[in-house]
Amino acid sequence: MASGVRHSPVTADKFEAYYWGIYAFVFENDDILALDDPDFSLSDVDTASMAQAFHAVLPFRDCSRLYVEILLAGDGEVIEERYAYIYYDAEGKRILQYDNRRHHPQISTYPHHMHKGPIPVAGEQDRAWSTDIEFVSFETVLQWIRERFFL
Amino acid sequence: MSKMIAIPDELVEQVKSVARTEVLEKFFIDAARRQVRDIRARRLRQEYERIHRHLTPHQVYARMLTGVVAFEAQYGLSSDQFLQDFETGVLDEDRNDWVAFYRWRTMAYGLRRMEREYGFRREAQSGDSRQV
Repeated sequence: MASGVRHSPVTADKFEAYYWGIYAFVFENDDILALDDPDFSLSDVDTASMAQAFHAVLPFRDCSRLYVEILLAGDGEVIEERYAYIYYDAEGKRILQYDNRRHHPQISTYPHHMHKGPIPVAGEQDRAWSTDIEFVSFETVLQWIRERFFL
Repeated sequence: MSKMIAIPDELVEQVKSVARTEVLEKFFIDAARRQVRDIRARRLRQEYERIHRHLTPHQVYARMLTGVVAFEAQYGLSSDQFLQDFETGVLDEDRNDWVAFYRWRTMAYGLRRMEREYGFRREAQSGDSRQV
């Protein structure tokens, strides 16, 4: 039985600060994001701070969309311990994906890697590549999408 | 008499790049943007605190558990088995719903953390809600 909150207030505060930083960054990008799209979603702050889990669906103004799944961890600072960023075009075809699932040890940036192009058909391998972002994070991925597809 | 010292090429290049006006400008613009974002984030947080009530740990746990149980039922797999198989590459993404397993993974780990942090148990959740 759980009687009281055992979460460290200092740690919880850092996760909350991370969350609000992301929140502010999303609204900073409202020139490319379709924030009034009904599919737009962002985890609530309590899930982010207590479960350290973060989820988002970010529709863009060109009808492309980014799915975000992050498991956070605290090691002095908040880090994105496990993540997946999957970006689809307006027709629902995957354009690229960044994730750090530990199943491509041959990749030089292991465990961080990326996949390019559409999701492969059954029987085909989803080839992994070294990531082309030096430090993958919510901010750098969204910034990279902006520079690559919206400038 | 002057003395020669070796400076690594990499360091020379770094100094050159910082000295370039456009790089310096970008550095300051990025720093200013970050400052503005921090201020906005603090305001958003204060606004939220003023208007909303935070969820209790129990509410967060119950919501995550509902999501995790739905995935387990859909795929006929326990979350423990799923995490082991998905993380090691034994199990690939679901081609019909590519994002699903990443979502499940986030929720399953989140649930574990809440069980560890707050002592919640699934059995208690289904038996007596007051336990959690």
